Amino acid sequence: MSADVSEAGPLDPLRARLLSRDVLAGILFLTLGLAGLWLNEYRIGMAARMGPGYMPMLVFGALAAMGGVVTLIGLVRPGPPVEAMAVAATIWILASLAVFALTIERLGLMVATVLLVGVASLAGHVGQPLRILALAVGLALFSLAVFVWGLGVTMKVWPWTF
Amino acid sequence: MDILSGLWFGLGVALQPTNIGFCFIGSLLGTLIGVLPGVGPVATIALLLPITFGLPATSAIIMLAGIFYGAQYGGSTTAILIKLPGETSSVVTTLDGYAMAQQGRGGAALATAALGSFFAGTVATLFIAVAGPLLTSIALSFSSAEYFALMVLGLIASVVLAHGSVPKAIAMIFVGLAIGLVGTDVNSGELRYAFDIQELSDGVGFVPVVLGLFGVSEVIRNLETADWRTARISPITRLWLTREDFRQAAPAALRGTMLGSFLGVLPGGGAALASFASYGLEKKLARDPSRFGKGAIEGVAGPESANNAAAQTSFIPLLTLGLPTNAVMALMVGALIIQGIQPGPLMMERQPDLFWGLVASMWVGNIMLLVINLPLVGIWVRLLKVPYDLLYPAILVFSAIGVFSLNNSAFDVYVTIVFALVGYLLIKLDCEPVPLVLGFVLGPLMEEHLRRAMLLSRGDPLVFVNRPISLGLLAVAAVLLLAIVLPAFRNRRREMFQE
Amino acid sequence: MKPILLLAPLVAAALAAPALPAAAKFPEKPIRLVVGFPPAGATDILARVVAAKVGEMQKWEIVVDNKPGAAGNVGADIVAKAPADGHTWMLTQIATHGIVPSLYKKLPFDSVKDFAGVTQLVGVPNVISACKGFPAETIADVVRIAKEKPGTVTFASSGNGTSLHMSGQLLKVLAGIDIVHVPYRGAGPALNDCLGGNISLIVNNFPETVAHVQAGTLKPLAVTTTERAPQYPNVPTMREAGVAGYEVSAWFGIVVPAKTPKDVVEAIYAAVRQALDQPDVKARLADLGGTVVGSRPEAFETFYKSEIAKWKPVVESSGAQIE
Repeated sequence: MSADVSEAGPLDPLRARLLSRDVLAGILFLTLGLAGLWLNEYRIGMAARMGPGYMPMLVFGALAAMGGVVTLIGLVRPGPPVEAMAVAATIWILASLAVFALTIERLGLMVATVLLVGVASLAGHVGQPLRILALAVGLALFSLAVFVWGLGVTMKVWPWTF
Repeated sequence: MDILSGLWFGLGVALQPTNIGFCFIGSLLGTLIGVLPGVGPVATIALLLPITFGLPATSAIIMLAGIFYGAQYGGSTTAILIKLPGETSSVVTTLDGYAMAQQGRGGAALATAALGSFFAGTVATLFIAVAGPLLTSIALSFSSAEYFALMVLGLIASVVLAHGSVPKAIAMIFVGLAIGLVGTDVNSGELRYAFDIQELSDGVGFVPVVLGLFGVSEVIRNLETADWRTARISPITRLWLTREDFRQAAPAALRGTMLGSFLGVLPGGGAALASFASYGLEKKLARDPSRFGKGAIEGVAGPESANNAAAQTSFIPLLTLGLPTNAVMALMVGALIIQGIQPGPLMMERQPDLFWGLVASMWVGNIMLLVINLPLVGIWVRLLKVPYDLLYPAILVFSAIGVFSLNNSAFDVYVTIVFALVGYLLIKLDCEPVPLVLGFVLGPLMEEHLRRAMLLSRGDPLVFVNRPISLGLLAVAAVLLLAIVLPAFRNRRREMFQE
Repeated sequence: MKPILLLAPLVAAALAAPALPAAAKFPEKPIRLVVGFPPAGATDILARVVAAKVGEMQKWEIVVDNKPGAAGNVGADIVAKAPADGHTWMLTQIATHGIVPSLYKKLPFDSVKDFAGVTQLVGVPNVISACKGFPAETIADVVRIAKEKPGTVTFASSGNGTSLHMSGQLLKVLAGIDIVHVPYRGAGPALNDCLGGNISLIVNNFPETVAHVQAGTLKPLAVTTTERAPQYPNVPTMREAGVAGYEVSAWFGIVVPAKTPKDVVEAIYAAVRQALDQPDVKARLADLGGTVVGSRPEAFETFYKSEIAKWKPVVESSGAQIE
């Protein structure tokens, strides 16, 4: 199963409480709420004639409030600690999508798809390059058939076409 | 033309070989794009509009309609099998549908979705024929005050959807509301929280958010453990439903159909609520609510029936008044105008073959979809056996292309990336994404209706209680709120006494 | 002969090649007609009709590219920054080259400097109608009721800053009455409230009204152009109805990026003009309420510059400006 924080040794109670899922979630909500309030530069108006800033004020205010509530509950009634994130997998998966986004408009569908599969496969530490290549090319061709020929979506396919 | 002769006439039109052909093409295409993440009926219909120039009007509309409700069938497939919802309507299906798949009951879940949708489609088609004008007059009596009250009710009901901590679920609703704030404010035209990014001027896209939040984050989660390659697939036990499954699913499908039929008629956000409302209703009515989220079949049957019923009845205002209820209907209006037909109150009289032909073809289409989808269950389930190291890149590829092809915009892919990270974070923090989605979908609508109701009443806040429908909905919302909060208080008091 | 002399003609040809006129080979690749609005809307339908006809007559490949967002601004920004080789056109309308420059304080493009006009395609009237239950038969009634009870008469439009909104605003300014603007997200929701009797008046694009007028659910009070609409012979123009100096035409036109060579612009104009002269195109456009214009590039530029100037005070008076 995923790496548990307590594998590294028993934590002192305070740190365990602070690193609990509930507390961290609460802090996240609180931060988001406060950020939203701080960035609210729009006219607020009155309840009868609400300006564009009224609803953000309500929503972010409530979010910050709920964040506080969740944090307090989390401190008072400690829940399970947060599990470590799979950093490598996250990075490679997100990077693969980013590579796709960066190349699709300039290099076209085929190249972008192959690059996406290539980078994504690094997330799985798969060590068979030929298998990955076959998968990449296969998916690229399949997508070409389904999206461009089948559905008629207009997008750049090869680096050298319009 | 009275109803029976109209339906008979319509069947005659719908069963013409060309129209059967177009109905089939539309339904098949709809199913396929429903399965593909990202690409949805709106995008597909928009792409096919030019082709409809050359087709006869009735055939064109039959095909486009088939695409629309066909996509409802297909959308649940990926939601159940890989937790990837393609549309608002399949988000709720990811809860129990995916849980069922993980328990090896994926086949049963898919079959339930297909059967429930078929039942709902049949009943809803009947509604259109029989109660069309009545439902339309209900739709017309809904103005902004009523919509606001409905949405408040919907949001409070969504707390029922929460499995874990209620305060966290409420916070997630507000996060969703916050994300929904990004974009152009209808009432003032002001661009909010967009940080000068033009692509955000119409808000954060629904599809990129949902794909990232559910699909991609699930991929990351699956890759966490070192032995992910072998640990994934549970053996498929059966492809069909047991007698027990039927017994539980059938009433849920019936209730979902009723709920969806009513909500689908309301322009301005009714259909989005249908599946969420149905899930909440089923959970509240269930003898053992704790089963929900872990593979309760009612959690699939109800919402799937609700969303298909809503998809069908959303045609009603278009057919009786020429009013589009959602983006797809707006495209239909365009398609009709291109054909030189004016959608409006006289369409039933002036183009009876179109009106009755479309209604009848909806029923034909639902039959076709059942026939198409049930055998596909076996195929989809077999796809799950594909080794995950091949499957997950495929999921990413289709998600990326699907998202990109929505607006031919790489920006949408970046949005998916951001929400994939957010989604993964939320999984780690035990926060539920479904209330977020509901907040995100309903938030902008709720605000728009609140401000417009105040504008129309010239600043009088009592408008919400002066209008009977709005008052009724708010009353139900208040009761529901009490029903949720009171037991929690009682529990806390008991705990405090014990301590 | 010295080998190097053999190279000379080649070198000369290579140096001379860029000087060959580009228009001789226009178009070299498919043309992109950018529409800043979603498919099936009025702008999109018009674009497709024109693109299909021009493509058919000239054997050019013209692809309609929908880039919706921000009332046409996303599409406009793309075209403003596109290469000026004549292969990117934009279907513009009264919003992008009339109202928008005054509506937004900050724009990523300049409607005047970043574009060159090709032609104005059509002018389409907007229609102001009375909704269910509102006791007005004429515009004069509306003015009277609004003066008796200021702030009670509402008018619906499909969005803040649209030509529909501004049509109502112009009435407000010219007639000196206090009517309240209620914006909606699109015509559908606006019609819903109108038919439900929650709004007094509604301003629509012409095509949206036809079915409802025929069915009697909408009562058209006036058209906003200076000529009556042929489909509604009994509906007066706003000027005839008593609002002097009133004119709004929801017009559409084609523009290209500013630095596009003049001869390319001429070629495009000639092709589009030819398409506009076809009877079937005229008929389709008339169905949409449009009167064909087909003005020359310079005339079009003068026109939209005057539109921008005309709408500036109206937008400012409406308070609709966006930061």
